[in-house]
Amino acid sequence: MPKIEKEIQEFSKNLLAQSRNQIPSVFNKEWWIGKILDFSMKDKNFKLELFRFIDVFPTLTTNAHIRSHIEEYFKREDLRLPSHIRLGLLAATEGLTSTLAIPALKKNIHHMAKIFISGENTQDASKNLEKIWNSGIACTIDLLGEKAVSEKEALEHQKNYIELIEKLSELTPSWKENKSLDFNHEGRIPRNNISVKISALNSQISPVNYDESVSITKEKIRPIFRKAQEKNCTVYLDMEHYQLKNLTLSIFKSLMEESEFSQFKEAGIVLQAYLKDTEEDLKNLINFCQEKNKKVYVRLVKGAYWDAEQIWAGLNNWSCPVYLNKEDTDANYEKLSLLILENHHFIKPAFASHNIRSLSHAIIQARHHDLPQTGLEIQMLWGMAEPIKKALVSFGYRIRDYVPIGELVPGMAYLVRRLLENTSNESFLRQSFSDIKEEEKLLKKPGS
Amino acid sequence: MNILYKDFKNEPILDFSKEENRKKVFEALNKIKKNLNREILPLISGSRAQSINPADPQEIIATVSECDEKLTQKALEEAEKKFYSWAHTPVKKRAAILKKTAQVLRNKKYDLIALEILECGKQWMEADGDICEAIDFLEFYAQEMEILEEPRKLGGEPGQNNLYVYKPKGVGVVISPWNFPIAIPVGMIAAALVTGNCVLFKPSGESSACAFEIVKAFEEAGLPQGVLQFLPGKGSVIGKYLAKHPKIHFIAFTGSKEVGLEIIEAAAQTQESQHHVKKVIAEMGGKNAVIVDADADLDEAITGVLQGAFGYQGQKCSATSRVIVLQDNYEKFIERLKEAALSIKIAQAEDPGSFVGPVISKKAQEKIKQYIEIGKKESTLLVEREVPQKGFFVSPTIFIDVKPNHTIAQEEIFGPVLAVMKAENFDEALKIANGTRFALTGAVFSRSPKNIEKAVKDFDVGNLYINQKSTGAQVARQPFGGFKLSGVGSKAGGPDYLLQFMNPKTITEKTMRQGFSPETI
Repeated sequence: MPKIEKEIQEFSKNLLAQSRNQIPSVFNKEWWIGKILDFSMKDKNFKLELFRFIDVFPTLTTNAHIRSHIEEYFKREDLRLPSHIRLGLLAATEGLTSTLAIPALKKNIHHMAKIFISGENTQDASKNLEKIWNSGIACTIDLLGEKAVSEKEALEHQKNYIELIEKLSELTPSWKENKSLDFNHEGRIPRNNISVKISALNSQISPVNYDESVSITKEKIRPIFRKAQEKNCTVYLDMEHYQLKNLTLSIFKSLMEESEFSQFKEAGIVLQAYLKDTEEDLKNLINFCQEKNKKVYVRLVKGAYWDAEQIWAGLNNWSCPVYLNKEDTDANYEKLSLLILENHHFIKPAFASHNIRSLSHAIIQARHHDLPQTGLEIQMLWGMAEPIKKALVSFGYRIRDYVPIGELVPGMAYLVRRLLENTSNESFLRQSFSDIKEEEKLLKKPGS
Repeated sequence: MNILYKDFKNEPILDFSKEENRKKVFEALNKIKKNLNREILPLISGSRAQSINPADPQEIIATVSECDEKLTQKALEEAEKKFYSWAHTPVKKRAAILKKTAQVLRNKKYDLIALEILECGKQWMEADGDICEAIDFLEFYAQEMEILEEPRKLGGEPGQNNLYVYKPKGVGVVISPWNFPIAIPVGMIAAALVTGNCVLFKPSGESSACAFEIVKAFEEAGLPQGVLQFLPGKGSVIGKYLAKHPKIHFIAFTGSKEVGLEIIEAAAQTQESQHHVKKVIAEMGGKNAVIVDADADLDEAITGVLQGAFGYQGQKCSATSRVIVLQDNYEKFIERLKEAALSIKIAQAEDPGSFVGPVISKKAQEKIKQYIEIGKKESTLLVEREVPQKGFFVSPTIFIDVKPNHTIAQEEIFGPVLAVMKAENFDEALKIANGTRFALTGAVFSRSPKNIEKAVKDFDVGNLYINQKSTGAQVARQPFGGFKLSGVGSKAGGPDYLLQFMNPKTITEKTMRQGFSPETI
């Protein structure tokens, strides 16, 4: 085994061992969510109905609607539910018990949402944000919103992002100093950090209307960047589905070239390792930074639309943009991590994953590329993988939580994506904390 | 469940997030603009008419030589001469010509997209979708005919051989509209040809240049001369003449209910010299409804309704023209729909950002505007926008609080006009949805399994979409067509379509001679 691989193995085994002392909230069977997700992982039919029910739940405005939907989704002969789940769900549909059971069910679902969504608005979330900070973890805030179907809604989203920066800048200065969160190897870094989706800002965005989509979206982002510049806030452009990938990159680069933002050092973009295109895109981005003398954040993720990308490609009869094999994505993640670390003079790396192997690889490779420990950060989703975060914090790494804020209705799409991730057969977290897959298999080099 | 056409691959639409694809359309548009006013000739020359760009009526796309009755008669006679040899051409060869034609269209894809944009005001993606559909029809009918050609053996008792086969009908006419200027005519022509018939093709005058491209594509693919006759000209002359002609065996028509019913009536009158009953394959209009349930995902419903109602200016037989919203969602829905409709871009189709472009002609523009005036008297105007003066633009228009019996809730407008209605419950919504003379497409946005099941059972439409917009049917996956006064139920792009163009024949041979048969010997 090569020396570096040995170090990765050693680091990851230690990290896994430290993490396995605890259990992430979603797998905690003491709670309703833990129980229900546990059963959903054993029964595919139930999982489908459960996730569909959770998806529709926030739009059900009356108890009668809740009752009829539970009946329609779960009172079926082909669904055999264990008694504790049957009781909780079906009591909601039956006469007297329903008056008690429906509020209980509502509470359970809200509780589940609150694991992943930190509050309905910034005010609401502010306590959580400080709590996160005090636990040694920084954050980047994502505003969950309804899909912008009109310019009115898009402008509303824009306004909310600007206000978010304002509020963060009022909130964060009082937080107590934390060396590993407040500084990288080059100096102080902002506590204010947000993640923005371009689809939320331009309701008419469309790849066919490329140039105009770029210019209009830029108009929408400029005031956000301006405010971020003024209030010292990092702004990531989130990466969404593949059809918006090229647009997102074009918009980002084009904004970076504007003289107004020539001094803005706090812009970042997200790249998805499951896309076959990403290596090329990353190389182009590195060249761009080299030519224009820029340094930008790159958050490297695996990608959250894996199922959807395959379905869309299939329906359009297009070649599939994502790797079909999870292991290929993991291998690509390591390849891209390396490319980023080799170019850390142009890219400020943020490795976003819950996979201990992927993170350990990046951490060890950073050491070998002379990037100090504070030169990179690890990003994870709020409400997930708590034990891994805790262990990494104790090792002195900078962890940043991706923290969504928003109401339950628009937050549902986000919530369902998280539930899918946690319960997927391929999920590292499920394999680590629920199925307890053995260490060797979990941590092996992808593709080996 | 048995899956039909699992291996049929639809022609992929273009991925416009890729720069090279966008560039090719821009180049093709520039190329056409440098070479405007092309000349379009029928088989034999007649009088002349022009096809113009609806976004810029000064821009003449093509000048068409129109056929008169005499020339039409001549074309018919020429086609009749070719019928025997074409009917006896092996299916394999006929199918190969269709597949070759598909390839010709594929090779010219960008030029054809540009031509549709300029001649018919189709938006980029709409135009691309149309070419893909045309290619799909060619590939699909070729594949279908190869299956249908195989004689089917009936029963199995020894001593007798029973076979079931299909034979072409004869010379027929294809009368096509301008709204899917390549896909619809190609579909009808391809079906008629691959089944062994000869075709007289009468396209809409508004899409003559596109129609000419179709004829050239078949020619390039090696279709024998005379099997397909091209008869540009007036429907009132050519269509009328052929519909009642004793030598015509079938009429494949896609267009308005009025013209469709006229054709059905004319075709029903048997002439003295006529030896057969004429078959009419008619796809007509729709007054398609979308039901938005109390638990619908509004993000999806609003986007779906907007595209269904205003995509290609509502000039599709499948367009959404009515929305029935459950009262729980009514206020929120109309509020968000209004803002969404105010956000879409109104521009000529050449602009890749165009959501709503010009309608096809001055006449269409005036007719739609009349309906908008009626709507203003009947119900409440929710959205009406400023539109460019140049070109045949009509504002995307939304009326609310429309009653099911209102004119704008009953008649096909064929333009960007949407009637929104309120229903107390899902049953009432279904009743309203079914309350017109049409039954083409319909959609339901709902997450209630029970209500979805009700719609599956009782929503009277040829194409029902669940949590998806009412337009955009794909060959093989979603065979298209309706019933009631929307059509005869022939379903383009599906398993029953080719049968419409053929006569079934049963062959029974007694194989027992002197007490022995092939099975016993």
